Amino acid sequence: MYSYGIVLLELLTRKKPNSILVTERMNMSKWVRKALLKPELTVQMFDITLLCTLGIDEQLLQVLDVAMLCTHEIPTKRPSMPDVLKVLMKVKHDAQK
Amino acid sequence: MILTLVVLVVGIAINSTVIAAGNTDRRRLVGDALGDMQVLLQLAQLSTNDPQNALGSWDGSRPSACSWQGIRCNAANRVTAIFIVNKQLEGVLAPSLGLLTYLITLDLRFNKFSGSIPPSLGACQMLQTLSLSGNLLTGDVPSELAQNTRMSTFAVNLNMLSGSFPLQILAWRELSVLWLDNNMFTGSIPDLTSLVQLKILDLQNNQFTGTVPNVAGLQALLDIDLSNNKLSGSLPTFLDTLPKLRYLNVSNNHLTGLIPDTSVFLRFPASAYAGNDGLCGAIIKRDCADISNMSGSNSTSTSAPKMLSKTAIIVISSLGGAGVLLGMFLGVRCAYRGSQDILEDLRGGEDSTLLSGSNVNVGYTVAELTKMTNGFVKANIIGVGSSSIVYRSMLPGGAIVAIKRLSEEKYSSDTQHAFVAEYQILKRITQHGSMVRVLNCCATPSCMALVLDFMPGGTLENKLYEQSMSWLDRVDTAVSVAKGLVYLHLDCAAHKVVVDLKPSHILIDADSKAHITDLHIPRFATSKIPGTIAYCAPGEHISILFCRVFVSAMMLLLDSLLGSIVMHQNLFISLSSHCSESNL
Repeated sequence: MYSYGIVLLELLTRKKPNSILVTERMNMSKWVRKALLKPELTVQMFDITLLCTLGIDEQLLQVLDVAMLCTHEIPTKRPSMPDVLKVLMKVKHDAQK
Repeated sequence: MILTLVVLVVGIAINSTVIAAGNTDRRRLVGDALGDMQVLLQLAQLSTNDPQNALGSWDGSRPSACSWQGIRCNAANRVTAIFIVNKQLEGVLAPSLGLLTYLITLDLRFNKFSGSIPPSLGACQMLQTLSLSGNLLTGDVPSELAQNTRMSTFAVNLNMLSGSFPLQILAWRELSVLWLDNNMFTGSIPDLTSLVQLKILDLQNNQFTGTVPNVAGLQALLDIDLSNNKLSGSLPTFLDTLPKLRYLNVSNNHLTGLIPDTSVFLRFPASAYAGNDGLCGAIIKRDCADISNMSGSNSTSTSAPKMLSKTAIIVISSLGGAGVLLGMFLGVRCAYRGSQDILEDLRGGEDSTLLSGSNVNVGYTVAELTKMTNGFVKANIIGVGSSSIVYRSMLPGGAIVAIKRLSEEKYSSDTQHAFVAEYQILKRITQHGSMVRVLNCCATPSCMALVLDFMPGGTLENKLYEQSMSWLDRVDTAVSVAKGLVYLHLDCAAHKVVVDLKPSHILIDADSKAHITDLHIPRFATSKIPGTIAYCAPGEHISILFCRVFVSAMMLLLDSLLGSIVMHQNLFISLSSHCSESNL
């Protein structure tokens, strides 16, 4: 579950968790949580090509929400895989419009 | 009377105050929260070896057992579920378990419990899930279990149970999952059409005889696995009455006759029918004439080609003894050439009849792999892992596959057996559309390798970081991987699969669809279970385990998730307005 969340974060940010571990000295999930505290960092966090795709802001945030829940520090707070799939199917439906 | 009976049958002293309280309601009589705790303490006491200290928190001085690890209770502090999974516990199952009248789930998968299944479990009238998979249980399934009419999941696979098919199962009208596979059950399989809720029927690797059981009209049935038994007779005609059927495996039995060339049979790969010497048809590329020639004219098939060959034999017979001899000679030659062709085709295709039985020498030989990979030349390497190298290779038939060869220090006769066992499960699991299929293997003393689907799109890592991916591609990937993980969580739970999930283990096929690869089954431990630190949750391994325990709690989260932006709605006004700004 956790690793799936990290893969989602990579899809959103196009940044490798290993390099963040080295350069920022923290795990990817922590780094994203920190970035979310400041708007300018949040913007830099996302993959620029996604920011330049019009009309997907809400979808990006939904996937980010899922990723944040999947990588929650407390394992019991992480969602179940079927629930994650449901949300992502909805996002996919929106993305296809 | 009832009191004495219960105490006698169960053979342990229950909290005396409960008995003194005396009540005509049987449920009240056989226990309360303290009584439940006594039962669990007996379970712990009979678990003579607990190497992982799984029962360390089972402390008899607490007011109830509800705070113990692996125990769930209802509001009245009565035990409703026991989960002690993969803890290497040794011992026998406590006969007093039947006193847990509120027990809904008993999950003791992958331990080393021996002895028999306690007949007293029949008294657990609420029991819905009984999972004893992967233990060392012997004996038969007690007839008392017929009383567990709410049973929905009955998983006693991977044990050493014997006896005939447990007929008491037919009384469970709510049964949805039936795993009796990998035991030593014998005799015939009864008509199962009364199990109207049945979804999964796995009876593989037993000694069942007789015909394929009748499951006609079961609306919910998803998977049927009858492989590696001794079933005879022809293929069932009722497959088209099973609207949801998605998996069928009748391989390695003694089935005979033609596999009809209809969509209902074509849906399943040749491997589903392999290892039945008497089956023929286009699906398994075996001409029915070859079989009738091999076995003479006493075939029972009514297929058109068979009819022809019968006619031919009659004609030859009428020509006299010399004619018969000639016919037999031609027949033998034909069959020989035919079976050679089949061998070539199957080996070049997706399955090998050589896999039948439990021989260690399955699949390809080193010589064949060497040929397919041009001598394992560097030019054919498409991936290098910590304990394996992946080569792009061409099968004799021209199909491109990937061959993942384990490094040589892993080879030994012990790991070879485990490797074959792991291969056989992986092969089955990876039939799911979100997995990279395991097609075949090489398992000889000098070679341990898996033959996998070749994924021309490379890894997700490469596609995401070296190329470009649209948002829709990314969402598609996320959905495909999530589907695969849901499947592993729910449908492959008993196998306890571990996935080292990261972009380099997600491969892209020719249609840009993502597939998960690099699955492991720790039980076999043929390779060190990998873990990549950046993908590991703090303090834990990356394990995709059965998480039904958490599902109910997690359902609560769903609503908030679907309510879209929960956490950052104040933070973002418009992400896309930063596009040009950030570009500068």
